[in-house]
Amino acid sequence: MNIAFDRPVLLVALVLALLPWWRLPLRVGEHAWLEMWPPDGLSTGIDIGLRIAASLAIAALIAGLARPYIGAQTVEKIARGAHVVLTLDRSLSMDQTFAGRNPQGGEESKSETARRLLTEFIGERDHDLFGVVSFSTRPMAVVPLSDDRRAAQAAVAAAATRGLAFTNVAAGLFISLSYFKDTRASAARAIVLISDGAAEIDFRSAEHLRARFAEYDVSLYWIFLRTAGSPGIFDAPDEPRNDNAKAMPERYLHRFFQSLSTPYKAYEAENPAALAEAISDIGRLERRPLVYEQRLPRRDLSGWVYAFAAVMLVLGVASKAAERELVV
Amino acid sequence: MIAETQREFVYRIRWRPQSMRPGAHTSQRSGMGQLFSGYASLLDHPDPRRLDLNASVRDPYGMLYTRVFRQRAAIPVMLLVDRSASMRFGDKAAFTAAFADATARSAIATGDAFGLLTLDDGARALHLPPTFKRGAAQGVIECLQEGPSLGRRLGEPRALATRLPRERALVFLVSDFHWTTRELDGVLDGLARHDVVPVVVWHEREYSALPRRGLMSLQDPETGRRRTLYMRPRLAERLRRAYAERRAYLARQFMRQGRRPLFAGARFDASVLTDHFLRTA
Repeated sequence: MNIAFDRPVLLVALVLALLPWWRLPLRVGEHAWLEMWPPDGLSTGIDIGLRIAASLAIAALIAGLARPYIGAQTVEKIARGAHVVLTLDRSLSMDQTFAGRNPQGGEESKSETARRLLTEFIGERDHDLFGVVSFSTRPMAVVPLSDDRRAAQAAVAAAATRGLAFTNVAAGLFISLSYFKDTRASAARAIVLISDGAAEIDFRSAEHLRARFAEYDVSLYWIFLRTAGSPGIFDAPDEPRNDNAKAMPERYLHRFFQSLSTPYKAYEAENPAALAEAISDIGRLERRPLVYEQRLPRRDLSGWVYAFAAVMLVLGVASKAAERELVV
Repeated sequence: MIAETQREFVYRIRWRPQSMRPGAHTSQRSGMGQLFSGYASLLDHPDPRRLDLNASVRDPYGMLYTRVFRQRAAIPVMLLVDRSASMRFGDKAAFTAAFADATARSAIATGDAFGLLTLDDGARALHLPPTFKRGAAQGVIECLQEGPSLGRRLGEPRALATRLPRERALVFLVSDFHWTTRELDGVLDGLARHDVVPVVVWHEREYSALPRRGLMSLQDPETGRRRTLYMRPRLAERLRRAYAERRAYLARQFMRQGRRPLFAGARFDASVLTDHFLRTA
């Protein structure tokens, strides 16, 4: 807690808070001889109380004018959760349904389903840090790792706009991995890759990715939104000549991920229910104690200070209302 | 200013004045008077008009006796007025002025000298030495009507003794007696030689008809001190008790000086004084 003031010069006027100890703003009547009044503890208490209240009211008003605030600060918090980077495929095919058609009527496209479920997922997990990366031909760092749920949800919602043609998985993963460069290692780290297709990863990129995954200790979840009729992750080729990365990029990407030194799990979702299951599965897995820093923005305290002054002033007004005079 | 009602009162003393001046009070001096004091030889008191045949015939040696009477003498009547700031409260000043006027009239009417002295800070003190002159007090009383000075406290009691007449006088001491014990003792010591009639002027608003509940900020006119008071019936009751105790205390102190104090109300009423003298002297 470091309280600072915008206009500290005004604090000089705090001297005025001594005024009530000199005079109270009550109308003064004259009595012939004050000594005749018996000593009265309650009256003395009220007198001192009023002076204190008046002093505090003046002090609070002056402090309010000087505009106090608590400076921006970072708070270290411990929670159970993970750093999750959602890596969303925004290729054109994501806008189709699981059946491979353009959505008609009440049908939901794959990206819409993913968006809905991810928004829920983000909303449920209170202590996770989320980052969002979307990629198609070029990757885009949308929201950095933060505890701001609304930003992450908005980023996921924004991914619903029409995508581009290609699926550049390697570039998306690089951006996602770069999110972990500056975070502390205490938390569980995960990349959730959501795509409906795969692409070949060249040798250099593959080695690079392998090294990064190992370095940052990031587990990977791949949710493959399989369109009906298209090749799956676990499918074996019918003919040996089709068994290459060009013909079956999903199978080869899967094999590459399996070769990573960090935990990896693949889900093949063929309909919205399967996708929901995959997401809840991830939610269960990624629950490790997590130390994270929360940045608190600068907070203006003058409202509180004025409210306090108002309460004190109400006491003063009440005393004025209770004021009586000696009738002579 | 002063109502044209009964303004004089009758006062009495219980002591025998020494004064040579004929007046209304029975004195120790022999002379013309009505009060028989004894016989004396005609040679000592050569006043054949007072020759007492009865006594002369009874004497076997044939001495002639005259009757000797006590002369009635005049006394100085002094009015001592407290003009400290506490007398500002209510219409105590009006009471004081009315009382001074009545005392001056009564003294002159009785044939006594009237003098006035204020208990005040030295320089502003009013002082009228006792005089038989009719109307001499008028100017001073007008000054009194203007109200008390802003003087904070009583003057020096020693100065008091020097300004009072040397012979025994009847002294009316008009004050609210909101004095400390030391001030009271000092003044009473300075007045020990005289016959003091304390007249306690309290305004009833000082202790009655107070607000039932609420906050009051009161200032003491003499010290300037302020006090915030939370008025409530209990506190009012305690104040009334304090005044009752003060009243008893003052009565005790004055009784030691030989006179019962007169607790006058806020309004001056001459008959109250007459009554007081009839009951106490």
